[in-house]
Amino acid sequence: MAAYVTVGSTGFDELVRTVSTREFLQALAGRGFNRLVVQCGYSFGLFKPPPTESETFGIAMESFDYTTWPQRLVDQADLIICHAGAGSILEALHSGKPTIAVVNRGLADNHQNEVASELATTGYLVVTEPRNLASVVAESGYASLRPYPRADPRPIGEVIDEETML
Amino acid sequence: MLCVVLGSGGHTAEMMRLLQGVDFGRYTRRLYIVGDSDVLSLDQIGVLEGDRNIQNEEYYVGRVPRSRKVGQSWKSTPASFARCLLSVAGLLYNHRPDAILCNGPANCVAVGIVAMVLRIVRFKRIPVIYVESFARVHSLSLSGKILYLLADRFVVQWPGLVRKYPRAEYIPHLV
Repeated sequence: MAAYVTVGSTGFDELVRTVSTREFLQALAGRGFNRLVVQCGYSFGLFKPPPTESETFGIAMESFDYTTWPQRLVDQADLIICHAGAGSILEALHSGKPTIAVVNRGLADNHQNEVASELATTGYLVVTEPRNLASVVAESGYASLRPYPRADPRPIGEVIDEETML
Repeated sequence: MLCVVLGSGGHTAEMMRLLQGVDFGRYTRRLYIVGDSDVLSLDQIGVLEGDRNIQNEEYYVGRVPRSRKVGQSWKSTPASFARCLLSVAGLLYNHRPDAILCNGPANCVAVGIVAMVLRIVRFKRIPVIYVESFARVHSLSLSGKILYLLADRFVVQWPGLVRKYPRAEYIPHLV
């Protein structure tokens, strides 16, 4: 089983640090994960997992700053942990994979977190902060989420059609 | 012709999703307005239009100076906004699109203003359709607040916004 962590187009120091801690890796291994892929953005240098295999609980790890094929990694994942940006959240939800959105309190603009909170209320994803991530995984708080409805952008086409027919 | 206003990363990604709902067979000519420093949007347009590659369809990319860069001082903003307005005016005047679709980047303010002016001077009525970003749950973006006054149709993706902005139309699960 694979977990895919993605910070999106910028970076997220605290999240990248958190997912390379022993505590987090142990929680992942405890849920049966054996692979961890981390897209770090500009926080790439902060992904420093423990050096020995016994300390990483047998989890194979891969990390990079950016990737050309995020969709493939999402498709291969059994769990998606993403920063709480609207774009990342949408990609994760549309993949149908259980999603944990991690809020970045360091951001000045907190509007992105509103989306995550709202979607968490309806049970489409779990929202948490870096310091609680390991326990959310350990308690498999992501296990009973509702599937997110398929997007339907056709009404926008209809609105444009209506306006151009005037 | 349909005019699509593209901005930075998140807005562009969302616009690409919205465009999946537009029948390009009906709007066989497309004009994309892109900030001059926005290379990623150019890539996205290339992917979108490259996938279609249908005869008798054509698209144009109009690059305009950014109306305001992130972190730009407010003092120098009026000058760059004026440059943006002029550039947008040139594009809309030359291409005369039948509708404008925009979803929040700063450039769409200039586009909304120019469309309004073109209507007032009876050049052409170009309806502006604004879709507020999926990221805005409880409040409008700055562009949204301005376009709420200018747009012909104002679409939001969260129900709470309709209570605050009654003229908005709530359409769920667009993206």
